[in-house]
Amino acid sequence: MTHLGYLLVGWGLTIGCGVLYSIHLVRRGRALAARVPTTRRRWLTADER
Amino acid sequence: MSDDLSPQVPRPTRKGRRWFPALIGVAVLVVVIGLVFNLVSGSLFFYNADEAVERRSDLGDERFTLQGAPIGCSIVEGFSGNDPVVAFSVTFGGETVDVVHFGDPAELFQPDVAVVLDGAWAEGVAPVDGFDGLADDGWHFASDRMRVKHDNDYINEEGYDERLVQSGAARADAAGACTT
Amino acid sequence: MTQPMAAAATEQGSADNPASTGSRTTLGLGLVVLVGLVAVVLLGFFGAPEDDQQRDAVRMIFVHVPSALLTYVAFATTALGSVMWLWKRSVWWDIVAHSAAEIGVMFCGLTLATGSIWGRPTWNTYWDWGDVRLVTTLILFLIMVGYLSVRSMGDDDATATRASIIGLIAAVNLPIVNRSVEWWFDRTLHQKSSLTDGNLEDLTLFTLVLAIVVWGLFFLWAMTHRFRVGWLERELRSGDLDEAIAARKAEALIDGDFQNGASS
Repeated sequence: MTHLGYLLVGWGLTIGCGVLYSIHLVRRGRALAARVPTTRRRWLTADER
Repeated sequence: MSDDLSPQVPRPTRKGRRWFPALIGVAVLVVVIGLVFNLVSGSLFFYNADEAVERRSDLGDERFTLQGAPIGCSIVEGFSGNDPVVAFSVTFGGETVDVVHFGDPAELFQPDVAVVLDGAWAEGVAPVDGFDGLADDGWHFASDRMRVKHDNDYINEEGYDERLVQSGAARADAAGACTT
Repeated sequence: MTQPMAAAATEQGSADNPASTGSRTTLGLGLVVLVGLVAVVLLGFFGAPEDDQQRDAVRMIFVHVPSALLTYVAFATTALGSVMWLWKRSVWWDIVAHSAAEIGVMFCGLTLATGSIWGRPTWNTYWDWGDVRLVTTLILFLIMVGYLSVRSMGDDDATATRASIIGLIAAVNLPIVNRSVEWWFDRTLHQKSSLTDGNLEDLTLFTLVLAIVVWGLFFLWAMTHRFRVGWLERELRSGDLDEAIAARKAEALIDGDFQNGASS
């Protein structure tokens, strides 16, 4: 395969950023959710409440 | 929390901050408008081969960027001392320009795929052995930086022969120029 | 954070109601994205054919083009949210605008990075300051980094208004970025859109469309989580404020009772 170095950097950067941002979002969400009562989380459905 | 529940004197408001969004807005708008005018002026990036020929006397020995499609039969690779050099003719808008590029050609450098070159007009015949410039007008473009302006056609090799047949006016011009 | 609020949140966390921004829907969406991403990697590297000019470098298209398209989607969403904030003072839309801007900056950065990496073997340069598409995209990126910087200065309504104005200014640049390769075709290094020009076929086209769908689903997943994070941050601030006001009122009542008792 030609240009493998460029491909690995480009693909790695894209997928790596997506994964790292996802982990950051989930962890940030968990930290915040632990501090806010369930009744104040508007996105929850009636059943989940 | 403070135990003092007596009425507080309001803190003075910073009036300057009201202008903050307006200032940012105006600054960014000026940049965007300036950029657009600069782009519309047409002098930002490159001259196509026909424009470069037309403006040759104005350009003099000034550095500028040239764009054109290399003519396959004109390409000659060689050396200037120990340094690699490639000579070829490019065409655009019915005009042909002889080019000498000092340095290795770009990886995708090939006939009919347009190149964008930085350099300046130089008087005289291109100093590369075996190069027979198709423009042959007593001038050549001396380049030291090459980019490839490839097309947006990502079709695999099965269609390659068909693409070569249909590759348009530049190829036809090139074929005509090389046989005359 | 005050203790009663934290205690209430901890008590109410359970298996059915986890203390996170996740839900069954986002979990399912996340799994679809993961499976889709594996398929895109396999097709992108081993399924789709190489190009006759670019050889295997063409495989950058499967990360670059989706990033660029989602940059447009994200910043257009920010612009819509900004309009709704300025017009209706809608908190919901304000959080949407902020969330889309954050994700959009990531995609825009990736567009610039992957384009630059792709440019080296194909254009023979990582960057060209004279190219319209490249420079306008960089300006878009910088404006939206400015948007996030303004957002980080505060969380009040005035900050949201300032950010909204910047979000709308960035939106003016969106059509310029997108159309630049058409408007300045004879002046730009960047090629035209392959997707709209119909210059893709078979497995290359399929893989690109799949990649766009998968990254689009990732955008939805990230938007959902980021919106919930934004919502939680707002709830936390208003909760703290409610408790501070209540505490102040309680102190005032105690103080009043004390004064009444002393005078009687």
